[in-house]
Amino acid sequence: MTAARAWAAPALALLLLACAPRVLAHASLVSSVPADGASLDAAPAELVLRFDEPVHPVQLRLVDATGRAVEPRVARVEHGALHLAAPAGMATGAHVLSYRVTSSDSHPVAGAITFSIGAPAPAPAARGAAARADSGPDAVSIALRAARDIALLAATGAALFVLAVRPFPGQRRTLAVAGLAAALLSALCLGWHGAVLLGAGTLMDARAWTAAIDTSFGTSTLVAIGASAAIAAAALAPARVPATAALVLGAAAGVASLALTGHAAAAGSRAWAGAALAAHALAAAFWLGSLVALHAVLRRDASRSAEALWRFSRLATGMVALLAAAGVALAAFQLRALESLAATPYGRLVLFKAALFAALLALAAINRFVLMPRLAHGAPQATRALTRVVGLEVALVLAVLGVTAVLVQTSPRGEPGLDAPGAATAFAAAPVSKTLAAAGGRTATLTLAPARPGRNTLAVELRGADGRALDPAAVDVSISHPAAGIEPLQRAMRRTAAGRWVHEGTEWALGGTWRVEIRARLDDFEDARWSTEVDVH
Amino acid sequence: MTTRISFCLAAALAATAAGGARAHVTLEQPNAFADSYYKAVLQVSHGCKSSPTVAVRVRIPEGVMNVKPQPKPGWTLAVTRTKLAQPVDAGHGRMVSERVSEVAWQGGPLADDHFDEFRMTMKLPDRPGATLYVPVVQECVEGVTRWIEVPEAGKPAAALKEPAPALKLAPKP
Repeated sequence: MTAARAWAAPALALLLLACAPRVLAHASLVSSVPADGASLDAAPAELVLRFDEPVHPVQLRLVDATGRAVEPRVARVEHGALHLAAPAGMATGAHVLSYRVTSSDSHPVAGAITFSIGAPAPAPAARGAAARADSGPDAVSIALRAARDIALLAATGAALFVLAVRPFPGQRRTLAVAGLAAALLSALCLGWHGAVLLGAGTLMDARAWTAAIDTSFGTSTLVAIGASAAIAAAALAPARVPATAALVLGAAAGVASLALTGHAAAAGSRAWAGAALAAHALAAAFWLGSLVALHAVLRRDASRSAEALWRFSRLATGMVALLAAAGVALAAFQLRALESLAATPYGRLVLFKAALFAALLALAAINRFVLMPRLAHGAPQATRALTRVVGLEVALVLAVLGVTAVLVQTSPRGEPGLDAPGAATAFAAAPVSKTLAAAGGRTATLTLAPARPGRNTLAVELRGADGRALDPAAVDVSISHPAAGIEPLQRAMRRTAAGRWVHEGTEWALGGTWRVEIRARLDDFEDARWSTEVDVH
Repeated sequence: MTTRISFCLAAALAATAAGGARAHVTLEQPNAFADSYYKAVLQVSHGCKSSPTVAVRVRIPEGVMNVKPQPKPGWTLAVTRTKLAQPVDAGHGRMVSERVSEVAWQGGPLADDHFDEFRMTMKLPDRPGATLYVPVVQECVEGVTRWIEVPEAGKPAAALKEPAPALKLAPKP
């Protein structure tokens, strides 16, 4: 009894406390000067944040497009209005004013507004690329990319053949020519990529080059140039040991550079897709390089060709299996649904490539099971037949690589993600694209283009667990930049088609990692949320 | 008896902890016994960004039966019923084939610096350990606040901006 009474008092007190009505309220931002999203002609003298109740400022931060952050001084506080003195010499362009305040219940409230001074900077990257994206990749891009890939794969593959199978006649010349061509074509690809990004159409603009180097394609292309140069240097080097080292380095870097770019490398689980892409590139390089080398062996050194062929053949079986498996995995990863194979341009290209590959396999089988046994038995016409078939194989490989060059520049997502004129699509600059899962199996595929500081277009494609487009009543996005101290900016997205929503704006004022949270209102009482981080640079 | 006291204590502690600085639309008593009757008291302590409240709409979670909202002077009451897949025993041998799925009070306006409560009784499902989320849409003269956020598995509800009122079900004593 005594024990019970001892418990009763604190229990009662706690219950009373628990049941006391919690009538506390958070402050929320009602309005601001300049208004959120406003474009000003000139720098403001004062910034005002108006809340619905008295607040106490905790942290204020004004970040400009260069990432320079200042703490504006609080000039005066009137009820819920914070009057801030605008710092002198505000730059033109986008600004983010981020706030963290406490309301009367001492609950922190944080958020941000954006505004721009001067005309809102147009996004040349986004617009230039969008114009091209509507009509697919341009012919120059495709031709350059195909030529570059052929040269790079031939250089890398010939180096692999020398390392793994045997030296072949004329290898120095082959390696040097392929290596130098790959380096030169890679550089041209890079410049043209930048020109497309800026909508400039000329390689003479230095900005095009710097813009291109900043993209994921830029990184992979620089690696490719290094790889090609190493292979060419190995071929031209007089001494044997450094030549071998340069060859190994060049071959490895060549494969790596191919794995570093493209839609596949940008897709959701980067490590997984990167490994598949590396395997695919390694096998493709080995095949093409070997064909070049075999052709040389058959033409100039027929007496010793049988031995080289058998060694190649043993390695090739595994490589072809790897090539096909990695290719199927990558296509499946990009397309996700079987029906997209026929329904999207990307899918049809994959089918076409698979058909060419099947023809290539048929030729390889003729080599392996018909011509090589004949050659082993010393049939005189076998060498000539084999030379012809290998030549045909080389032509088919070139066709496959041509298709690949179109493929890597076509969006796997089918039709352009947006229908707003002038809006960037998935093809722009170095867009970030991610597929996120939410509760209930719902997915959101998010694309940010051009993913560089300034004006960006965020597009989302929402799907239900059944794979059909989700058609919510409203979609909001909240973006924040924790490292720069920018609190969440809230924006309503605009519906363009069933399941497709976009937001275009200059909130992405600076580079770095932004947190993005998408919230779709499925009905009055239920929403779906996805969150991720996106790099802007 | 001991279980009931310790449960109340735990409930009180949890409520105090959760109470803290939460504004929000909340349930006065966020703990209840599974498979028992419960009086839900929704507390509305402010408007939407200082705009007065003109409607409070509540979606009743699955499994909650026998919902009876309390009429309020100055507010009209609307109840939405949905058919059940199969009739269930509503107690005392009475079989019912539909349940209340949504309750809405419309009227007011309830000024931002006033406070009000919206009540209903209900029979809670027999799911001890479960947490029921009661999403509420608060409509105001200007704007709407949706108290419908449900925490992701393993994440604290405190991080949510507009959480749905939650009701934790404890085993029946």
